[in-house]
Amino acid sequence: MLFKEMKIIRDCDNIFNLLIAITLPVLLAIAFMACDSENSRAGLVIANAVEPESLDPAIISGQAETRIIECLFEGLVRINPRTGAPEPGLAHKWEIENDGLTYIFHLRENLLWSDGKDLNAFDVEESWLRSLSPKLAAKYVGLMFCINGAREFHEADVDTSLKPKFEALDDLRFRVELLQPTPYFLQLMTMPIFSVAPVHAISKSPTRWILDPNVPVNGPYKLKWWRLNQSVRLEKNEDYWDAENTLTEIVDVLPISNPSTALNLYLTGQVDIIWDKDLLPTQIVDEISKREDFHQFDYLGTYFLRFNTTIAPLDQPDVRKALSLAIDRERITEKITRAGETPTSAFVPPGVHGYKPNHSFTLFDPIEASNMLAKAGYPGGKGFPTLEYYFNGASSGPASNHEKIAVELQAMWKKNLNINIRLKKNEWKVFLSDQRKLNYQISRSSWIGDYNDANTFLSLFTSTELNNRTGWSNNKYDALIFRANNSLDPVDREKHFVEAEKLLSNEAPIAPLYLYMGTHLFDEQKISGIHFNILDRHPIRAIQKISL
Amino acid sequence: MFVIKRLFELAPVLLIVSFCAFSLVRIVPGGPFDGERELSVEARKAIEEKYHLDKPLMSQYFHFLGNIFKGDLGLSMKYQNHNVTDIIKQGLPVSTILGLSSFIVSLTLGIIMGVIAAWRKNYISGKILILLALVFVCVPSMVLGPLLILVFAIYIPLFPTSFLSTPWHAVLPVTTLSVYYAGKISRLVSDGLIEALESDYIRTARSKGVSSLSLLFKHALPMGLLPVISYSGPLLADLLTGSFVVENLFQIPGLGTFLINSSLNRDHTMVVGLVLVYSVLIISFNILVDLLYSKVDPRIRSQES
Repeated sequence: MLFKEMKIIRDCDNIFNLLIAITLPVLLAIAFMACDSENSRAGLVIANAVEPESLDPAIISGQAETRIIECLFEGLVRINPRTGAPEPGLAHKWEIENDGLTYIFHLRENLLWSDGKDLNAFDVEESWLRSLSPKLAAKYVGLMFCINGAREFHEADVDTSLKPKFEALDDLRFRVELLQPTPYFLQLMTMPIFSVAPVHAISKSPTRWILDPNVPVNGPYKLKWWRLNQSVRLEKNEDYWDAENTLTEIVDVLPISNPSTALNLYLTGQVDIIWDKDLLPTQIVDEISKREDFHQFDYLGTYFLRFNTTIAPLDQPDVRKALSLAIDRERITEKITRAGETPTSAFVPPGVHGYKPNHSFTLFDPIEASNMLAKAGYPGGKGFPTLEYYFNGASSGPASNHEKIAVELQAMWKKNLNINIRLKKNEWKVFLSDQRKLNYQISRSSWIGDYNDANTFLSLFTSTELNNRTGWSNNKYDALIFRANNSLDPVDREKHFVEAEKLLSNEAPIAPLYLYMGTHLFDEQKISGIHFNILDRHPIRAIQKISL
Repeated sequence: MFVIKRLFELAPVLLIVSFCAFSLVRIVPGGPFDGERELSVEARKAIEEKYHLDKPLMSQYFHFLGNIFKGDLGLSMKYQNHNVTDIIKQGLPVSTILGLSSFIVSLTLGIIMGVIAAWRKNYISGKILILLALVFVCVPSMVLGPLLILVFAIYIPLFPTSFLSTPWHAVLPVTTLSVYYAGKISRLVSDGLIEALESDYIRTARSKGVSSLSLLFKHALPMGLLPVISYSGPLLADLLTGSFVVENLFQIPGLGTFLINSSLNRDHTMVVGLVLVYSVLIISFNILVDLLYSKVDPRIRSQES
């Protein structure tokens, strides 16, 4: 008996020994991490919403990735930090010939990759061919289809005889031939897919080349490290042609998806800038928006509803218009979103370059809405089937408003049209898959413009556009968009776009609700180089902390 | 012998688990490449070919099994430049540090609270500790975390709000993560201990004049700890694979965020990789617990012999 008790005591000791054995390595590991001097604070720390899906300029599509990629890889043109407009990048000048169909870019002399290799026009050609390759599955490849032969090359799979119409004429000259004049072509060229990627390094490791510690870059920064869910550290590239104007030596870009975390870091001085609209904590938006370091500006994004026009009764424009007119948009922006959004019933945000329509669409007219519904055969909502409003759920950030908006819309349609709408919520991927397959009736949507031109919005609803997702197609609309993009005369272009938007509003395959606002949190006394522009693009090379 | 037998059981379990994860993530609606921007038909075809999604399920699974023996879990479908193995290598040590620290804190705190609560169960101090344990279990980390940050990082700037680069940084996340488990362990210990203290062998020991402290620590506690030991296995596996809430809140680059997000993103390769890691951990810790149990509990030892 005594022996047994002794054994129990010994076993008990064993447990504590085990605990100590576990404790020691943990303490050691923590101590080791503490000694890691590499983790010292960067000169500039930016909270940048989500973790980048990739840092390959050809395959990314998000804003969070674009902000980092434009530091690493530059194209022939780059973004001006003050205006957000295109300015000379790797090319110092260009000529536009043949009625806007041909561009000849002149590259700067002595351009270098960060590995010391010369960068010339042939690198541009190789990089663009790579972006167009179907094997790469670039989401934004459609932006390149304005180049003659680009679509055919992308769709041809392995047939290399179909070469797109761009080529390096010699080391310093690069020629591009467009399908139609495309007045926003230079804008497009500021997108990452047009930047020059190091094909000479990529061919050695096609999928993981960007993780090579010495990956060659041609932009203002080199990639010091990319630690998933932790940070991307950028280090000034001394070989960049404009290195003297890269103002901060080391920049950390943090992938933070939780608005509260971003705010905590900012309030405790661990982050200098929060610059994503999705990092606005919705619960305390009223307090945040009163702060002096809170900045708001017009942005190229619209929140809207898509109607599935292939099913009854949504195949009738009158029904769609009735649903749209019955929405009190001001109530949504005042009571729910509350971050200064502008209610709208026009799809293209004001402030878009070269587009100042003099029309205004009715924001809210419940009587007219009711009349429209009666005209469509449902007086007082009688006989109207129960439809489904489909939205995606999110737990934090402005996306968590989708549900509140859905409930509000349901109530407005009941009150103003006496119709019943069922709500359906699903997670993001299922929602997107259903939207793509037109497996919905009315669906929440949003669109962020890629470049500063009305086409980035209005071309969305042309018949061949994959992102249309409403089933709506209209030959007249397609022709108007085609004519607008075929014209070099700004007045003529605007006229076609205005007409197209009127047609879109009359047919109402969509119902715009409000315009997003760009939101930043940073102290202007401490940070310089951020100039607000509608694209919300702020090259990091121009940003620095002001030494007080 | 026991360990070898249990290790042999590991292989079929992992095979079944991996197949379930592999097929379930492919059956659910929504695919990895569904996005706000539609892929062109050619691009979608090419990317599905790259990840073998154009092949029948079984052939995909055998291809995956083939690669697993080479130590390759495949490329992540969301983070297309990263291998799943690399992501796990990056995240697991971080989650381990956080998890182990929390494990030790919750175990220590829980046992101390539980012992006092059981020993002083008829006094006010014991009652307060029992109530405190209940509060610990009831306050979710998503409430406690922001509260701790607000008080101890923003109002009283004692600790940093985020990251995990020094032990000082670890204080708030470890506290947030430990409180629930400390409460749970405390309740297990106090329940076990109260039962042990009322058992016959303790009464016998007491009647033989064994001192109170020795009665508690040498005689009753080993028995009182038995439920904690069996709880520790799954707890440790849980903690080591990271906590979504705590990692998200404190911006800690562990595996917890990936575990949740990979299934939301339909990142097939990542889901299967993480499920496998989780399964290996949970099975290994359960074997460890069984070993420990047989060492501590003489009844099991005698059954085995």
